[in-house]
Amino acid sequence: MRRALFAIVLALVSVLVAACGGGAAEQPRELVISAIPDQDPQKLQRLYGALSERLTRTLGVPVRYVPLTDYAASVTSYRRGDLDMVFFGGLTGVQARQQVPGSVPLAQRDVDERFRSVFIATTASGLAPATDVAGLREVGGRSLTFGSESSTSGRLMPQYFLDQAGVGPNSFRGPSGFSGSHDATIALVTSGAYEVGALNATVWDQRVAGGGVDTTKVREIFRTPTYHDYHWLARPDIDEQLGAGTTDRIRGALLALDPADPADKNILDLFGAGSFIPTQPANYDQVEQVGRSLGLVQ
Amino acid sequence: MTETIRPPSAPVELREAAAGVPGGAGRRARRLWGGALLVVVLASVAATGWTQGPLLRPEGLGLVGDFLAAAVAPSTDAAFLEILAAAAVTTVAYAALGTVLSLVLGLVGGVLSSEVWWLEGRHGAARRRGAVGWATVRGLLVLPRAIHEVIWGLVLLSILGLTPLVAVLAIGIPFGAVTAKVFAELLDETARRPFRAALAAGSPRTTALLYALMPAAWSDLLSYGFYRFECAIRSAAILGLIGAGGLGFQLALSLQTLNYREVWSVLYALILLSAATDLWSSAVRRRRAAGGRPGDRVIGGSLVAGAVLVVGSLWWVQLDLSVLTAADTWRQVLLIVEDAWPPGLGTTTVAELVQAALITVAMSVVAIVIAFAGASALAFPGSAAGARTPGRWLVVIVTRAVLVVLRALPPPVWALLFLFVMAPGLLPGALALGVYTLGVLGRLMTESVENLDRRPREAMEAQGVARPVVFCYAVVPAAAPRFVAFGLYRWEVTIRETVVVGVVGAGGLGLLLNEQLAAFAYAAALTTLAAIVVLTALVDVTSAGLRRSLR
Amino acid sequence: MTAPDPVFGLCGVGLRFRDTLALDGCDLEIGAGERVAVIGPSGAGKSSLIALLNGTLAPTEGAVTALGCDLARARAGAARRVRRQIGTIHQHFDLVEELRVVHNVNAGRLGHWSFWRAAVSLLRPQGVHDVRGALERVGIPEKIEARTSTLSGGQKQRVAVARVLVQQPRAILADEPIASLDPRLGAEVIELLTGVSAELGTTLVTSLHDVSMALGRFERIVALRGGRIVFDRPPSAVSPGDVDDLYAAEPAS
Repeated sequence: MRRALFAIVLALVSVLVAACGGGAAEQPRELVISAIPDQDPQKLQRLYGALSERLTRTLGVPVRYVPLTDYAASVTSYRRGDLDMVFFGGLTGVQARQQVPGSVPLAQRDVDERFRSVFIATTASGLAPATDVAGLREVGGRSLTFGSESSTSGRLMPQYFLDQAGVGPNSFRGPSGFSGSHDATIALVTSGAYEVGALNATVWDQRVAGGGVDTTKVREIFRTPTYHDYHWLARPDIDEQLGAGTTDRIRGALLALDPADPADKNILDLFGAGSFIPTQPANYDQVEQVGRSLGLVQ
Repeated sequence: MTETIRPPSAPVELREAAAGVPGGAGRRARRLWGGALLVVVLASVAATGWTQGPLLRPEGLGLVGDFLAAAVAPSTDAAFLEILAAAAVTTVAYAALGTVLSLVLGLVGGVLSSEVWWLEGRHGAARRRGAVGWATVRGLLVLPRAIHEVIWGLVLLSILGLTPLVAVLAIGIPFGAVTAKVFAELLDETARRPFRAALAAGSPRTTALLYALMPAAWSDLLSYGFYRFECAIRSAAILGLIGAGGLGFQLALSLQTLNYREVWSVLYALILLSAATDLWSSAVRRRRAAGGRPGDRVIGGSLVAGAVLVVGSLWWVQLDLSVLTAADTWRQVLLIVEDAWPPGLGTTTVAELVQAALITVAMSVVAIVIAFAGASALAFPGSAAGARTPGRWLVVIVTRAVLVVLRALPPPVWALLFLFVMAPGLLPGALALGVYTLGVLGRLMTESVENLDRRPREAMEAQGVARPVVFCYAVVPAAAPRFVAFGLYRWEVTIRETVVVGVVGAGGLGLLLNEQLAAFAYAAALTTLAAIVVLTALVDVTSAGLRRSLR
Repeated sequence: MTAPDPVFGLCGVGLRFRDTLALDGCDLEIGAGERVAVIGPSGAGKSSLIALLNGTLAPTEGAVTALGCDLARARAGAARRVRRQIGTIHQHFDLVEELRVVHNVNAGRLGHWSFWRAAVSLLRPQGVHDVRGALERVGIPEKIEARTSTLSGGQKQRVAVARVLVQQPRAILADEPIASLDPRLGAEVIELLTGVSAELGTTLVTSLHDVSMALGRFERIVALRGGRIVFDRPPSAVSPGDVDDLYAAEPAS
């Protein structure tokens, strides 16, 4: 018994030593990409699997996708350099750029230029569809849930437009909720837990089209004006790590995805995009400003 | 003497909790405490605002129905099950490595926070110096204990990034501090004469400790380790929810899209894992209580299995310790410290902070009341003591199965379910924590009922007293003080766990902290963290006072 | 009166626990190779005296020297070097029940071993030859692998004696070594201790309840009562009246 334990302790120690030593070994450099977790993870996995493969071929550098479940974790990991390039939302992109100065917004989807959120409400609430931002006034005094705290389309911009309509953060019935995801927002409003919810318009449209929404219980009451949302952000040290010009080549590869090419089209379809288009930091000034006023950007 | 009062197979830290037995003294103190407690409970219940509208919203039942309906048809997609199996192994690996780390930390911390180590056999100035050292280490250990695993996880994630080490450390550090406290008590309870004798023979303190105190205390420490492992499984699952990987991670992914069939597959895996570790841990502890020695087959086998599990876990998660020494890691620490210091309020107001703190307290109180009531009711049907008929055994098995399910589902899942059918606010969060704690508390109470001295009951039955009367006169009075002690102990844990449902939006300091972390407002987050630590310390002191007044 | 450099020396020693005075104004010198029995009624301060000699307790007044060193005032390392030359046997044996006999015997040598050697020894016992020799000497060599908790009281005290034997001390202290044993076993243990002392020239200081044992086997009797030394003389000079006075009930006052 005692001998066996002794042997096991020895084995343990040697594995520990091996683990430490193994960690120190230089690993081949690769491009690590990720995305904020705002969609069906399996879809994300497929999506980024296809993209990684494509980029690996174009760049000649191994590209690896790392899944995440937490918005803040994606920013933190990016700051640490665990992730080289991330498909951030508007707000997380601004947060990340602030924490890693010199980060480059590489590209956005065509749809991201004119992104929208929707407000949905229970039919029982009696809320009528609003025709303009001012119509959101009616939401005051109701219970409301956002999606994730750091979501641009599920929290930041809805809160901005509510503010425009004169509905402050404390003017709801009870504290506003954070459902955690767009789908959870739909479910919680459908259940009546909250009278009103705010979410990504694209997700809403897809769920309605897919028949996943009980339209007798919940309906859209407002679609916001457009704003810039998702974009690819790359760390400034990519060129240093993977060779000069790599950043430009990645951008080139993204912009070159051709809807006419069946393989490329597959990737673009998965992204829900017609194509990737260039973007610039100034596109996110509005988001930054709103984030600052809400205390989400320091 | 004391051994007869203590349920021997209960985890060591709980033995102390359960040692409280009412005596004649302190009746006034008890009344005072009882009155204060009643006020706090009533205020907390009032804070839930349950009178301001219907408690239940029947419209939401359909969604709960959808969720429950998926229970009979969990996802059996081969690819998904493969991912699930790997995730389950990861969860077990995190739990095992976290437990080992906590035992190592607990061993060192326990020695360094024990009275015997600092004071025994020292005179004069050396003794005074020892007293200072003792107080210092004890003070230092309060901090890691007060902070929940999930917060450790969030903080470590910021520093270390995406590495399995985050989960292992997030479990190991707070558990290590708890283990240190328990181990220090074990060492101080161990007979000191052999230690004194070794010192008298000129042995250095370390060696004397090794020969004279460790042999008696370490098997208790090991059996406590099995109890910790059981807790670590649940913690590892919850840590997964914040992105650390494993079953909790899969659960979070499936919950995001409300894929209930997948959710159920994960939940079944969690339930199985939880039940298996609970059975294992209680088998080991029962053997220990029956005077088992390391040579015992079950205990020896478990030790070997545990060691194999740890080696396997190391291999599975490919733990990379070089992160800890990397210059970059320390740069990150510095960056965060720079951001966080001095602590501030950011956009939060003091009033908001106080309100969040009150919500947190109210939530923990309501949760523990629910858990206490439910667990007290289920402890007796769940106890296998004296179960002879098949019908009775059926009741035992069903009750225990219910308790396993209640504690295997992470509180955030319960919170979501309650949110479907209730108005948002404090109540769904408190209920979520309450049913989860019910599962844990029910198990502890069941064990304590099984360990009750049977003689008073048998004596009464021999006199021909009717069973319900025997129950009221012999069973309830013996069990009640233990139940109260367990309940209070669990309240201390629950106040820490409010953070977990806070993270899913049930309110309180947890929600505040999560928002601040999402905004990278580290200075404000540090203030909230300090508030959590203070609150936790207050609850600990209150609970300790209550438990003492019970004695 | 004894050898010029005493093994133990007490000079005006007082020992106070909160309100009670355990020892008061004690002066005593014990030389090399002496075999001293300390007798007296319960609560006379016998155990306190032994505990002072090995440094477990520090005097509140006066000074105690052991092998020329003031244990209460010496630095930790120096005190340890002295203490490892003093072996102590206790009424309750003070063995670690969970350990095997071999480790409990080896515990006598911990003062001479490094921490690592001691740690390794728990896995793979060191110096087994000496341990076996000591156990043979006390008559239970077959118990070397046994778990200490399985031994009888007499066997445990033998293990304690063996522990002192491997320590090879210059002085052996024994605090009521036979109080927990039956008379026959008790006699055997005292025989063992005095035998060792005589053979190796080791100083032996034993506190005893059993006066006839003290008078029969020791060369010097120190009598304590109420924390004071009442007499200190060879057994031949101790009269039955002295003993009666020593153990007489306290006058009711």
